[in-house]
Amino acid sequence: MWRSLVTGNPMLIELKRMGRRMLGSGGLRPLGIVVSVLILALWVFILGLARAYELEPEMFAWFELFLFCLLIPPFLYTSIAGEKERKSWDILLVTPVSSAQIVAGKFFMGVAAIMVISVLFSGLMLVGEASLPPYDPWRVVRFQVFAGSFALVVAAFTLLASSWAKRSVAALATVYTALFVSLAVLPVVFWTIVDPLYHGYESSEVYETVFFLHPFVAFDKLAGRESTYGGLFEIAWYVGLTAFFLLWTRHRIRGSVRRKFPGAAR
Amino acid sequence: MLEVQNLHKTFGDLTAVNNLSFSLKPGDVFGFIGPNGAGKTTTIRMLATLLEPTAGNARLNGVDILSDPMEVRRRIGYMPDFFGLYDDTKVWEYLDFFAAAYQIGKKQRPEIIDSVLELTDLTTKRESFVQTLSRGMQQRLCLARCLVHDPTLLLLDEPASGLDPRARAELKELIAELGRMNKIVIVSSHILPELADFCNTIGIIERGALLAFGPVKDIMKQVQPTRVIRIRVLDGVARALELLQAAEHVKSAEPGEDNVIRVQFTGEVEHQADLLEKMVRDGVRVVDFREEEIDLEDVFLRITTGAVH
Ligand SMILES: Nc1ncnc2c1ncn2[C@@H]1O[C@H](COP(=O)(O)OP(=O)(O)O)[C@@H](O)[C@H]1O
Ligand SMILES: [Mg+2]
Repeated sequence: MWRSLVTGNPMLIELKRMGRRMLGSGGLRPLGIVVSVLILALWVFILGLARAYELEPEMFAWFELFLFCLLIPPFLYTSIAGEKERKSWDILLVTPVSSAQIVAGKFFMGVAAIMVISVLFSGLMLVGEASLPPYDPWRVVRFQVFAGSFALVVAAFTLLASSWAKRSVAALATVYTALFVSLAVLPVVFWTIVDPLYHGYESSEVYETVFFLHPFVAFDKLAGRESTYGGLFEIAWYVGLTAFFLLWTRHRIRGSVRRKFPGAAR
Repeated sequence: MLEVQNLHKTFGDLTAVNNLSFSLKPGDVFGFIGPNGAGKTTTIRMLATLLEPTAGNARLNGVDILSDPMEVRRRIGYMPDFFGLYDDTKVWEYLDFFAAAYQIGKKQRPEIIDSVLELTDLTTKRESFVQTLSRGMQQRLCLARCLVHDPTLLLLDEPASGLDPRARAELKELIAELGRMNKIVIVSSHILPELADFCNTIGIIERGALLAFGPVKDIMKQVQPTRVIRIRVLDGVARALELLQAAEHVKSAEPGEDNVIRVQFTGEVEHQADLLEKMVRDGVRVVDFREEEIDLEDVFLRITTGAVH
């Protein structure tokens, strides 16, 4: 199982291809490297700012959550719909590669992107944390696990959208719309419609209950050390949702084969 | 052996493939010919286990495409009528990926990749990116991809379309080589002459139905029950004509320029030999005596316009 999905998964070529896409290939490679160096320089600069001005790690945390919502979908939206567009999908389906291997391979692409962002932000947050005693690096680790698990949900959902969409642009639009509606529109609707009904502080409790999976709500609790089991509750939810979306994606892929060919699903 | 039995596919009201049955043996290079929309791609996709037949079945070496498609997939190489390559990979990486997908061990892969690259004449392009290859090379890379797992059956959908004449000639040579390697090769095209010279079996499909199937020669005969023999004599055309018109199996004999007589002949090759012998014995000085090649395009048109059946 581990071998077929992880170490021996032929779909890992996706990681190499993603690296190329990010750093460019052939003539575009120098450009990709320049951009990466610029990002690193910016990172060092902010690191310096964080040291000099004692920036709170929370600030970075908010920004990181926002970046995950913004940057993870573009990594993955073409992963299945794009193969259909370029017509390589059929070629992949006639090989004995299993649907689980396809989903896992594509998903690792997202995981790799999440890890890069996570490492960059860990550095910033550790510096921020160090400037605000008491120094507690575990807080940073706990937050990275929390934010990472939320990012996994975004990645898995993007894959699912990509397996539904006929055109990859539609998948990207779907993911951004879903994120925008659930993370911004619904809370605003709550505060404008539900809040006046409650007169006062109870409404924020209701809000926290209804939006307990909203990463910013959950993060507030995590930062205020109010969350149950140090955020483990939300992390478990995120991991569960991720698994749900991945299984659903796999079901979609198998379904598209099975509908065409009853015995072909694997 | 590939046995196709009553393969049938409908899309709503449209019958795309109508009760197709035929069988092919190793070494057969089968030219699957028909105009656009005839049902070639649909048939090939069904054989490739990508499209479920409405009815009918096919078996490859006894393995059923309906009940055991996974096993069939291991034994077929499918080249669709589009490239579907990954531009951002190197040639060897692309092949390595498919070798891995076909569960070929890491250690055996380099050797296999080398051999398919050599077969498709891409050895020098090993480290190149797919996007830098010419159309003909990309087409050969697609073919190389189909070969990494040493399939029994190759399904090539319109492989020659969009290639320049030179690339087309190279591709033909390559396909003929696959036949010599004892694979079953199905090559589709909407242009008959493109295939006739290297296929040993031909099937003509129109509106989903197989109008003709068999060795190239047999199909010709089916189309033209009479053969044309072109005879050139040194002199005495009138006497030769007289003799020919009286001979057995001769439907008609018409004189042309340069002492050439075109004979519509209904007999077999033995009768043809008898005719030549008789002419020579009767003192006609024969310079040339041979069967005229039939125009393949003409055969195709005659079959698909309903001149036969
Ligand atoms: N998925 C589909 N849905 C509906 N009709 C289709 C589909 N695929 C093919 N057809 C129809 O089936 C017929 C045969 O098509 P095809 O097999 O692609 O022909 P060919 O490859 O010989 O040009 C055409 O009339 C085509 O429009
Ligand atoms: Mg076609």
